[in-house]
Amino acid sequence: MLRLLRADLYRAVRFKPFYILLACNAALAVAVVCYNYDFYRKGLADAFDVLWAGLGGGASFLGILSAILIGLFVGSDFSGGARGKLVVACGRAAFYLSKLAVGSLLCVLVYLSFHLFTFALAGPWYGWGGHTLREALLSFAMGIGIVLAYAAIHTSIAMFTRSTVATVLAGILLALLVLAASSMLYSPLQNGCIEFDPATGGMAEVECGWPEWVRALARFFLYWAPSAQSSLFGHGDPIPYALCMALSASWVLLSAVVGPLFFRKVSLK
Amino acid sequence: MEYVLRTNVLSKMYKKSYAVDEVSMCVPRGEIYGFVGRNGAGKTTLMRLVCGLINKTSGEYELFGRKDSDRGIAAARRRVGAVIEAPSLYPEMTAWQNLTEQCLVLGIDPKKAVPAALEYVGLTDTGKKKVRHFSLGMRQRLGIAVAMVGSPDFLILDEPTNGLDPQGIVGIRELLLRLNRERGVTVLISSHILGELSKLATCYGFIERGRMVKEITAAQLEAACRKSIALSVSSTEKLPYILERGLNISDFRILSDTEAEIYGEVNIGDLSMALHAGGVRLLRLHEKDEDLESYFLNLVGGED
Repeated sequence: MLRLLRADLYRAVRFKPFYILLACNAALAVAVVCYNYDFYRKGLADAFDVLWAGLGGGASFLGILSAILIGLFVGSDFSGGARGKLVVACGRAAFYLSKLAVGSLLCVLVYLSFHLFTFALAGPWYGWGGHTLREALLSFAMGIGIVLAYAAIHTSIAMFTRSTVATVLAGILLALLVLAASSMLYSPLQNGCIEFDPATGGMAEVECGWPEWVRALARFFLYWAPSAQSSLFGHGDPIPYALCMALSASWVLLSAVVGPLFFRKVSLK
Repeated sequence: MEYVLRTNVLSKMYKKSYAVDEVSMCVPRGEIYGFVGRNGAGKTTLMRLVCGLINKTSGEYELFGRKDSDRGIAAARRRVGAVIEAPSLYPEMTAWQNLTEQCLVLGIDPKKAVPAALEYVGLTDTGKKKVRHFSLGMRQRLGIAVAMVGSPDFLILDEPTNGLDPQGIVGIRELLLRLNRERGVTVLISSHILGELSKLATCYGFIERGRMVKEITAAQLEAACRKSIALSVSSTEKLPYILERGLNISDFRILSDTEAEIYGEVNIGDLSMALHAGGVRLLRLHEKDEDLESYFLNLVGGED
């Protein structure tokens, strides 16, 4: 597997789309910092808002970036030299895990290119407002977990479909669908439901009438799905960092264990 | 005799039909095995099975004495180089980079292996040119270079001369003969260009509709290839009667109103006299040897 890792890293270093996405995300960071300047002057924003934008900003942008990067990196391997490697490589599991490892590394580097500006530019310039540095660092670490979860999911999709287009489309669709679902789930859980009140003749906020098991399932979804995790930051409620990071790690574990088992069955033509 | 590859009733089924149907074949060490079959006969599928790119439905195969179900099959596959259909190359990388990539997978030092491989296939002057700008012939040669950069003992080549010009075809042929002669590399090669294959192969396997029809050495093929006599006559209307009744010849074929072929040994004098006696004028006559193409067509029965 070490040989496959070296080969994939050799290709990754020469993979132009990676540098393009790295630059794009860094440029986005600068744009976000500049965009928040006016809000900062009015006392409405600080570096934490820039940090949140770098986690997807409630638009699952990280997920979309990851889908594009993994889709291109893994998809181009299957349309390139993958067959030649698979004939002489150490087996399908090693091939899969190598892609997972290198793909994850590329995604983390793209993520870091944004936050280089968060900590080097926005932090000293805007300050962290009411947030502690500990909170900022935990959020940053949680972001790495989100990125690794995205990388694991998209690697699985890419390895099964062997198609760049399918991976990118599936990634974008999943990210947006989960984001929409999390919005619909979060509001009733935290704020209750808006219903018609016959007593007043108008709409009133009432406690969510979902059974406890449904609430537990909804909360689990919000903490488990990477797109849903990134949207938690936009609500301002306390975030269970350790739980979220552990659940992100479960995606990586799932992909690493189950992925090779399915990839063994895939026919490569 | 030592065999590099042996398959035993190996089968691959897609939906309800067998692409490879209980194929048992043996590729002897040091030979160039010509794999002959029509489009869709199962050649590429069998090669993919042996390379581990697809999973079998039933049966087994042995590569360098290791069964496909053994854990050691991965080690056996490291001694294999393959080009299945299109060469497995990264279009955005140069020839050097593609070979380096393969060297890293194999765990060999690219600094020595890459220049040697490029020189062997005649691609030393490609420099920084990316593979997507290569001609088809260059890609085929680079594909072979990638397959052989790890000094494999067994090369599996699926129609490596497809789309090449005559010069390119000759180049590939000479390259493979050199590999076989100088390095003792065993080659399993499939090709539609049977004339070209006959200049290369030392043994043959004929596959039709997923089933192995026959395995034969080049020497056996030469012995088996039938001689024939091609006739041009004034009219072939009475020819069957003359040949069967007059000369006791039953192995012949009427090609047109004036052309026919007679197989096997024929006394030309007796033939000429019999035709004259039957009122058929003999216009032209020449001897033909059956080649690989006609042998194959006779074996599988020609077009459906």
